[in-house]
Amino acid sequence: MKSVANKSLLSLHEAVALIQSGKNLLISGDESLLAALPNGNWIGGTIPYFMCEEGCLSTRERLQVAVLPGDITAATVRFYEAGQLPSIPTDYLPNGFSYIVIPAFSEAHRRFAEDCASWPGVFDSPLIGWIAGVDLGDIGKSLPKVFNGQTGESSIAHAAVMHLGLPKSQFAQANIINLFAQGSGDTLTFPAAGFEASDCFVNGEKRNFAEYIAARHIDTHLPLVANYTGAMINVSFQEVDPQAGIVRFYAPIFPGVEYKLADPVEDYESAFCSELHTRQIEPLFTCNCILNYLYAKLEGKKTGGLVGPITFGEIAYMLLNQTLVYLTIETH
Amino acid sequence: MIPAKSDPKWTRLIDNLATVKAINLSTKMFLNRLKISIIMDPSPVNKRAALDQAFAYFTKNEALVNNEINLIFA
Repeated sequence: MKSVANKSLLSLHEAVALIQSGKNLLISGDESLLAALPNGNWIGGTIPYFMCEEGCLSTRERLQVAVLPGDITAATVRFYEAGQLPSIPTDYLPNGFSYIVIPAFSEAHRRFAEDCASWPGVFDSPLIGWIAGVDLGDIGKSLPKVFNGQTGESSIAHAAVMHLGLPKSQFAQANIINLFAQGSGDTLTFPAAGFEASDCFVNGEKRNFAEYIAARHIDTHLPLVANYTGAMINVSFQEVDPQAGIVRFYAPIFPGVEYKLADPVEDYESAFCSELHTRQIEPLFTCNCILNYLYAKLEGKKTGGLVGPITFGEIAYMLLNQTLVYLTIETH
Repeated sequence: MIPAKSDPKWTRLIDNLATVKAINLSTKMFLNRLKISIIMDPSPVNKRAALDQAFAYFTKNEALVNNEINLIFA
């Protein structure tokens, strides 16, 4: 993430100055600060949790700002209603990437999660972003919001997307760091897509999934993991309701996909730094999952120099859970 | 270089989506979409549609998938 003077968390005054300088910016933070920003070339979403130079922390007093390179050739922000989301790929620029922020708990969040992989052309250009959230203590009291800095509009219902163009000599790449891998246990499949499941198939045998979890004393801090042609894709548990026999997730499960419970990650911080050392990346943008922040107890810990919002869901073409997403700019 | 659409490598790709290896995240997710589609509907018509989608994806994104063409069509 390109920050200013090696700090990504800025005061309102510092963020205003950056906007007024005309730079293209990706901004995250508390609603009151975002709402106080002037119009300019920026896109924003609410969240109070951050990976930053000081380590992972929660703050409502500062905004996190990613400054995009000066050679970006175009940057246009627009809102999409839930029903308009499939048209996002048709707005991709010929050589560039698109940055998306969607308010958690919205219809756009659900529609994106369940349907995006089927949209024609969605994989033809990097689509990266996150699900806006609120302080965990405020869930149910306030709603996540996204901002179009170019128009000054905000929304609790729309996806905000900034479509960006790059010079011909460059191309963008979206990628992920997922420390979870499929364990060696049962193979789980589901008969229908959705954010919740009652029935599942355990090695082909039909079971109630909530009962299965209880009987096996499964640690639901560990996600389900599917192997997408070599990419490990998580689905995290939100809630197990044994009385209703329903299990709820933070991302949809899909029929036809084989899931396994993840192996535990003993020391997230060390494993993460080791993975970063292997990759040697300098991302333009990064975000990580609130569940990694909570379960791996990341507060106060550094994430190997990577900075970015800690979110209610990560997007790299699709909605992801318990995954770090990043975007790099490469040269042909 | 991307094989011509008539090349049997495309049919082999569609018939072996469970074991194909890719490098780029977009390609991994795209090929998984095709794999699931064929699991849900293994009809020849759907396999043909998957082949058409695969050819379109690799052709449109030739510059970006250049690093994995040899791996995928080995």
